[in-house]
Amino acid sequence: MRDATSENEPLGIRSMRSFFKHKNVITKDKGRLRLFGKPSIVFVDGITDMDLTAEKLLNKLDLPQKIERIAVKMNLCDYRRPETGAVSDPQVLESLLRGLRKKYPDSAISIVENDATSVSADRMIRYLGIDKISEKYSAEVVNLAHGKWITKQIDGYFTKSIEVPVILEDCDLLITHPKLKTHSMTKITCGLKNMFGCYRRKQKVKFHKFLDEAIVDINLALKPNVSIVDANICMEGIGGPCYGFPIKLGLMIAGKDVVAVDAFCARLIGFRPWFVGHIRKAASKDIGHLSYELSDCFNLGDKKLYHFEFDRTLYYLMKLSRTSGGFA
Amino acid sequence: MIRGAIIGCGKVASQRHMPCYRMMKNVEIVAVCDTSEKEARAFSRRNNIPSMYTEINDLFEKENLDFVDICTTPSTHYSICSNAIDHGLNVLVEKPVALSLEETLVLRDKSESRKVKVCPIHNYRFKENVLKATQMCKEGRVGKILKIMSIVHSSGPFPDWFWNEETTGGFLYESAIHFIDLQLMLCGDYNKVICLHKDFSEELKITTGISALVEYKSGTIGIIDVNAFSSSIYTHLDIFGTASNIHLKFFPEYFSTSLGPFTPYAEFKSENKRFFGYARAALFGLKKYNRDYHLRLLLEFVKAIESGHDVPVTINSIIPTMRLLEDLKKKDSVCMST
Repeated sequence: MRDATSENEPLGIRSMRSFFKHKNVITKDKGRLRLFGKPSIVFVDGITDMDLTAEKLLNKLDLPQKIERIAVKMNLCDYRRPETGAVSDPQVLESLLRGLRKKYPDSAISIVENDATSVSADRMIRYLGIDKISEKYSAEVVNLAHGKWITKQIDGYFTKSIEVPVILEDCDLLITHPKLKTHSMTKITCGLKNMFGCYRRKQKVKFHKFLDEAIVDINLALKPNVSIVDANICMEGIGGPCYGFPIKLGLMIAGKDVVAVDAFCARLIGFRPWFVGHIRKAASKDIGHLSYELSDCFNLGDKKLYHFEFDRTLYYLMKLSRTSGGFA
Repeated sequence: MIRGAIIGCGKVASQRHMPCYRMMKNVEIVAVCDTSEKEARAFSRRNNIPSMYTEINDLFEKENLDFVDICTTPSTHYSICSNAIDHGLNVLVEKPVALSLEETLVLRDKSESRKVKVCPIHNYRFKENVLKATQMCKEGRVGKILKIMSIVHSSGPFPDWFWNEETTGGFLYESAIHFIDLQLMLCGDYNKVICLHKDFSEELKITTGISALVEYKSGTIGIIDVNAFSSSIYTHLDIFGTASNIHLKFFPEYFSTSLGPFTPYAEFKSENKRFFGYARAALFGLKKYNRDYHLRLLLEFVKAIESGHDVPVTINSIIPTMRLLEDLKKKDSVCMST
C-alpha cells in the first residue's frame, strides 16, 4: 500500500514533505533522528591479503559466538563481469565465505540474490561461478524469486505492508554485501540500496519513481545486521549501478549499522551523507545512525584520492528529465 | 649535446622532424643526406645545417654522430638502417622499419649485437588520444578488452612511390600500419588471422582494401578494415571492454568513452570537445598537431640515448605488428565457410 499523502505529488515536494515531517518527529520524539547520538562504529581495512582482511573484519565486528542461520545478500544487478566493479566479486565473496565458515563451522550459510529487472539471478550465479564457490564452503545459493515470501507490516514511507523472503526473515544474521558504486539516481549505492534487490517484484524499475523511499522501506522490513562492503574494485561515473568506470580502492568496509557504513562510504567517495536521500531517510526511520566513528582504522592517506567521478550536471539533467519527462 | 643527421630531405623531415629538433635544446642536427643534391642543399640552407651529403657512406665516415634519423622512402629503410647499425650509430627510422618480418628480425639481432638503439617511428602511439586510451587500459578502467576495431578509410593524394606495392608495401605498410600497431600495442600478440578478405586492383596492381578478423592471445577479437580509395576519410579506433568502451578518431584527434546508453548529452559533450579541437587546429594550423606526437617520441628517443635506457619504441615491440602485416600481405582471402 502506498502512502496516500504522497500520491500524485512530484518527488521534490514529497521529499520536502517527508523532511518536515521528520523535523516534527525530532521535536515530538526526541532523539529519533539520531544525528548527534552515540556514533556507530565502522571498520575499514585495506586489502593486502583478501582472506586475512575478511577474517580480520569479521572478528572486529564482535558477532555472537553461535549463529544458526546466516544469509549473505550479494549484489548482482546486471550481466557484467567482476572486473567492471558493477557486480559482486567472486574472489571477495569467497574470502568472506571462508571467514564465515572458519568462524561458524556448523552454521547454515545462504548466499542470496533475487531476480532483477534485467537479470536472472540463477544465470548470473552460474556466469560468475558463485555456485561452485558456495559448494566449496558448504553454503547454499538461493534465488529469492523461487523461495517463500511472507507479508510484513511496516511503518514505511512508500508502503505499509511488504512481502519479504522467508529465508531472510528467519535468518539469525543478515549480511548485506554490496559493491561500492555511484548511482545515476541515488548518487551512491551501497548496503541500504543493495537490499532494494529483495523486493519481490522482478520489474523493480517500477519503484524508481520513489526509489529513496522504497529503499528505506525494504530496510525497515529486512534490517541487515551487518554490512560488509566490497570496496576493492568499485565503480564510478554517472551510469551506475550497472555502467561505470571501475576504480580500485582496495578497501573492505564493515559495520553493524548499515546506515553508518553507507554514510561513511558516501563521505569517502565525495558525497555528503545528508544529501543522499535514502541514507538521510533511513536515519530518520531509525534504521541506523548518520554519525559514525572509525575504529582501528586503516591509514587511508589523502582522502580526496578516494573521491569518485560523478558528473553532477548530468545527474541533475537526468533528474529533471525524469521528473518532467516521466522517464524512470 | 647530442649530434644527429637526417637522411632523406622530403616532407616528413622538413615538416615533421626538423621542427621538433629545432625545439630541442640538447640536439644538434649537424648534417643531412639526400640522393638529390638539390634537395639536400635546399634543406640544409633552410635549416642552417652545416654539412650536406649525397652519399650515405660519406656521411657515416666523415661525421661524428650520435644518431641518424632515416626519413627516406620505405623500400630504403632496411638497407640504410642496417648500414647505420654497422657503423655503430643509434637509429631513428620512419615506419615501416623494413618490408618483411625477416628483415626486421635481422635488424633486431644486428642492433643487439652492436649494442646500438633502433627506434622505429610508430608515432601514433604518442598521440594524445592514444596515450589517454593506453593509460585507461593500463588502469583497468576498460576492463578486459573484448573487441578492438580499426577502420582506416582513406583517399589520396598518394606519393609517386606509393604505387609500387612490391617496393613500398602499399597502403598496408604506409597508413594501416599505425592502426594495426595500436591494436597490437593494446591487446598484445595475436594468435591467428581468422578470416581475411582482400580487394586487389588488377589494373593498378595494388591492394585497395583489406578486411580481417584477428584473434589475439588475450582472447580479444580484432577487426581490421582498411580501404585505400574511400568516399570519405574515416579513421576510427574503437576499443570495447567489459567495463567501458573507448572511441578514438583522428584528424583531428578525438577521445571519448561510452558506458551504458549513449545519451545525446554525452555525445554532445564529446563532439563539442572535438569541435574545439578542430577549431584550434584551424586557427593555429595543423603543424602543431602533427608536431606534438612526433616531439614526444623524439624527446623520449634522445633521453634514451643520454641515459642508456630503452628507446620509446623498440624493434622487439613491433615484431608482432610486422608479423601481422606480413600475414595480411601474403595470405590470400580466407573464409571459414563457403
